[in-house]
Amino acid sequence: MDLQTSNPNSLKSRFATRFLRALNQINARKPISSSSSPGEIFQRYRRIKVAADMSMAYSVRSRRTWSRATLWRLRTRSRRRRLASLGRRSSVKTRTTTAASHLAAVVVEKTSHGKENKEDDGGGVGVEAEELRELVPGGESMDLCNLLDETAHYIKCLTTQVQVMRTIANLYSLE
Amino acid sequence: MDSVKLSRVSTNQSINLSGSQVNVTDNNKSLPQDGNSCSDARNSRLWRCSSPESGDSKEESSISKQIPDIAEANDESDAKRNKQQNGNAKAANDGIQKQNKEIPEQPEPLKDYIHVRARRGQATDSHSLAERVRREKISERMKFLQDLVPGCNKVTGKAVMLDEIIKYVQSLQHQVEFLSMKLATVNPKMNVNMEALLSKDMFQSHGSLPHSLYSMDSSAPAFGFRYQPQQGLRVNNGISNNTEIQFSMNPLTAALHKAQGLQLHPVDSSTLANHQIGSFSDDDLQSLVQMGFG
Repeated sequence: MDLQTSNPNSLKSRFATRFLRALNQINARKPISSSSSPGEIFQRYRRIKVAADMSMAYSVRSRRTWSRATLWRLRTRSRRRRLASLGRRSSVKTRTTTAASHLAAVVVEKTSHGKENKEDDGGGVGVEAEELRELVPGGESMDLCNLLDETAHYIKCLTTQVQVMRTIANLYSLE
Repeated sequence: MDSVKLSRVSTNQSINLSGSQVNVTDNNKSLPQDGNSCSDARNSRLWRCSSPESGDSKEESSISKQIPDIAEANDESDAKRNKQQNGNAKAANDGIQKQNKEIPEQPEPLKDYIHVRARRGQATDSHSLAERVRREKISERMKFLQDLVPGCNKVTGKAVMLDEIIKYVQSLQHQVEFLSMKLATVNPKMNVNMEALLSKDMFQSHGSLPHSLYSMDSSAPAFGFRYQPQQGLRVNNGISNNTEIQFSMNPLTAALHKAQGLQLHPVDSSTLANHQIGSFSDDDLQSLVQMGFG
């Protein structure tokens, strides 16, 4: 690998910038102390993971189905959680729960409606294609041809993500 | 040598099979046999015989744009092309049989048939041809994926290949989770440094700022890492006031190799973060650490 990011707009640098910014935000909010409970660490882990996925999907924008699906999923999850917490705080439970359940219904509908086109290629790859659909976000409603396209791009982005995160982890742990 | 039958798959027309190479009717397009034989520049674009087949999506998009052009040009150059084709038919058959495989379905208002060349002895009805087109597309993508996924060269067969792909994707996702857990537990002392240095300009500039280096040199005694952040803070606040800050790796790496001491490390790692994220192997970082603590 050459030493310089020759393309400042490459996927790698876009993702790295965004992710580092998010990471710094998370760390600034609650600095890690030596006395963090496992619960805190787990919460931070979840936030970091969400930040990583979100920044990766953002770097790809909406050009790909999987990035759109990831962004949608993350946004819906946060929205649902916020609505649920609002419902707990305020006493207007019915309104928020119906909204939350409506969102949940939309999610279920979205995923199940795609599962109807299972049989694509000549049988034999049906089971594996199903598994792949579950792995790749947004893969439920695609035929095998596009699914393979999305998988290729998804693999490329995942490898970039892993590279960048590994380097950052190494840099952090240098001290 | 195979003789090739040209068939046209259409949804609203009957299928035309002919003994001759080209079927010329009123609203049918005649297809040139060989890109080299086409004098028409637009047609030669369509049959990219010499160029390798890159990803399907590129082909599809460019071809679908060119078909309307060709449709107009067809009527004028039909006769000419026919003569050329019959002349070149035998020579071109072997070469083109694999190349001129498919044109994807056209947009609805224009035409909606697929041009596929049927191989000898194979069924030529529309469904099986369309099936074959799809299967070829899929196998092409599988080959591309085979290059992406490491260790898949010996594997043949779709099912096993898909298994490998699934395993690889799962392992990548697990790695992301593991790394984010690691990042959650590790304590970044250089937090503030990162934030100040990692502005957008940092990422895109590759100049040099020697005096920052010198300031670090002069201000830092050989303390341990614990004390670096404060010094780093001072320098970085000064740096962040300048808008035209550019770091280059060359003086820094040169400094690294000379092992100038601990005080360079915060700057190095942050600028490393700027320029070389993902480009350091573990060996480099190990040697960095050893230089620092040795």
